[in-house]
Amino acid sequence: MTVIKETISRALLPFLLLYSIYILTHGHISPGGGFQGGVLLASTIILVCVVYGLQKAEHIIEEGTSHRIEAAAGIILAFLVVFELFLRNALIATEPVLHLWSGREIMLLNVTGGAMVMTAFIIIFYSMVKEK
Amino acid sequence: MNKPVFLLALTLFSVFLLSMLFLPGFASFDEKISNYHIDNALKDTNTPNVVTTLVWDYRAYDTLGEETILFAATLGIYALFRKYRKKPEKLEIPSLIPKKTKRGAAK
Repeated sequence: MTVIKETISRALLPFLLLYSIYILTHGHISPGGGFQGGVLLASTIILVCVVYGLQKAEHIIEEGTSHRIEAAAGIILAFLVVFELFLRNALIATEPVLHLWSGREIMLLNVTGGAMVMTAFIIIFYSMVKEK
Repeated sequence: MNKPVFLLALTLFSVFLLSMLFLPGFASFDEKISNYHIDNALKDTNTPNVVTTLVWDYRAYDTLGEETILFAATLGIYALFRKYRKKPEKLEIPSLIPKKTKRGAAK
């Protein structure tokens, strides 16, 4: 039974990770964006924790690190949103419409929002698993 | 309970409830601000996805409020699952100074 889970998750994890990063960074071209990509990124860590146990998941990212990343991403996101008008004039886009940098400041906002949502769900899942 | 706070909350609630009567109908073709959003999103922000421009550009402060709610919810869930520890017991260390009893004799 464990052999089936480990084989399937070993084959599935790289594609899941790559697809979630694609949805995160192409938020201004195709449907998706910061929140959706962040939830998918958290689901990779949750899959590792369900199949391989809590020790292997803690090797990848610990709980204390998640707290600090979430706080830092929150501060950076608040700073970016409040000063968005000045950022839009400073980061001038010279690419046509369907490039990755054509959204100017939206790429930074998507990445920061995705990091915050990912660490939020990792904290929620770890606190539920660690309770006895 | 608290009289002024209760009256303030009641007036705000009634104002928001009555303002719903003046909104346009469900599928009406009046002049709304969403028409401006749909027509000018590509010109203003150079991105083809209108939903992303609404979330991060035109209504960015609402997204900031959403992130604050998410942060508060995560902290609340983490605080609910913590285990409480008992206070550590205190050991009584016997001192070298002898205690005096009532009649003056040392203990």
